[in-house]
Amino acid sequence: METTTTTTPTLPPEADSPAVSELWSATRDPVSRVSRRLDALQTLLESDPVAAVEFVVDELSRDDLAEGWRDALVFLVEDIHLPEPLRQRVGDRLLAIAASLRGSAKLGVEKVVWSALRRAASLLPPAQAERFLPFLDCPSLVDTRSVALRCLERVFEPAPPVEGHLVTALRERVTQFAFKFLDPDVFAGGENALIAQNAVCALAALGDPRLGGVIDRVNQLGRSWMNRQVRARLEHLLESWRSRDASVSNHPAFQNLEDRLRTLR
Amino acid sequence: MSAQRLRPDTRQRVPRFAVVGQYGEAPASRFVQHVALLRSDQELGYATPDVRVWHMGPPLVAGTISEAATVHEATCTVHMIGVVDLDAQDVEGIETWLAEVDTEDRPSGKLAPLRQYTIHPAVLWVTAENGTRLYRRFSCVGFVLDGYRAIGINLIDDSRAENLPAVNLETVADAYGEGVRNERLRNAFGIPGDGPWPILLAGYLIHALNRSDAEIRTSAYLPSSAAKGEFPLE
Repeated sequence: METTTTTTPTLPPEADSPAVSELWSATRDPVSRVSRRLDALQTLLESDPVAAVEFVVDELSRDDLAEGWRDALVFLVEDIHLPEPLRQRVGDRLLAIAASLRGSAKLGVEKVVWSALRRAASLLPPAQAERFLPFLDCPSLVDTRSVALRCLERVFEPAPPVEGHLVTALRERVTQFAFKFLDPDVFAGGENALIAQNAVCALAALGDPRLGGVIDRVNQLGRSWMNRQVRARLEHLLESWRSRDASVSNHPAFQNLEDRLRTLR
Repeated sequence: MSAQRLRPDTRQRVPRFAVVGQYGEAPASRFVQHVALLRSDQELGYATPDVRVWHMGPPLVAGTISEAATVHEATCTVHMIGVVDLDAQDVEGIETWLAEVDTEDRPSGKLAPLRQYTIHPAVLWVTAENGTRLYRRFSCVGFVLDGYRAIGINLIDDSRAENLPAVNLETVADAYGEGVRNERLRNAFGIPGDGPWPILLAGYLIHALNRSDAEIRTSAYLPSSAAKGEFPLE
């Protein structure tokens, strides 16, 4: 591995702005370097945003994309906002890409999988939360458990779940993660603690009544940092629900979370 | 231990997750250009090179995943340190925060690292259409600040823009390089217009740590002027 002591960001020089038609040519050129195509596309997202967003979505939907270009598009859709009619399509596609890549051993592929999962969670409706269940399996080559748990929390960040819309299997699996990774005999800082935290928050987002027992386990760990980090995230979730719907305080998931949060030391 | 400029003639043991700082390239500069988290306990003296760190270089290097994606090992030359006594629990908390940030690492490549970089605010959540959080962008200061906040140590109170001194373009160029004279890039990094801007300078973190442990843990530092971008002060 090359070593460097240079840490100052090296910023690119200002370039003369090419015409829109040249940018489209560069973006559509499949044999051009990915970085060149991406730079042109990002400029188009400012100058011709509607067409550029449609292009991104159409490209991402193709099955014959070169790996580098596909990966660049996955990352790019985390940085752009999509009109409502395109969201389901992109969410579907991102989940399919994540599923197809999680068995890959290629260096850096986990970043693509995690990015695709994050963005899919923000695009798909809460009623489709169970589609993240396969990503809670035991580790494939790309370990998706931690990110998938985080995704479940975020699926329900705008609003708590509608009762009856959630499969029991999802709640059961999240509960298993919470109790397993909060076991004092296996608890450890780093990835394991992150899975534990994410499971606690996912369970809260799912409105599961077992949250109380899970929070008891958090308290029993006696880790003040863990309590602090969990509290910050659960308060953020409560505030997110409250800020979008004043009547949410009557929702069982909101009441469950509010009550259990009081018991977190 | 608080904060100190290291001595060229003496090496001292510095603990894991201490804040390490690097001066700018100008001769005899006291302007702190970069800060990072020390990756492991190490003997350090003034200008010890190639010290392994976790940081937002850019690129972001917060763990094995982000490290594997970069061609450069994350290192810096250390001129100063800021140390608060961290116990085993604090260390676990920072490890867990690093594990999370590591999952948010973005693509590598020539300009890609800049796309996870921000100058202002120093920590920026990129959000989806519905406001849900996707991933974080950091400045080098924001990276360290967020890591310590994860264990309940708020090193600097930047909750209100009025808390931070205005920093002019010349100082921003000292910190981030001449490229920031390009307005398009300033826009991308969150500092539009001609300034001045209420941005966090790396030196503030070192001054924040140049207090007693009790003070560091109970009250956030408020920089009184942009001159605190230098350490030590004249």
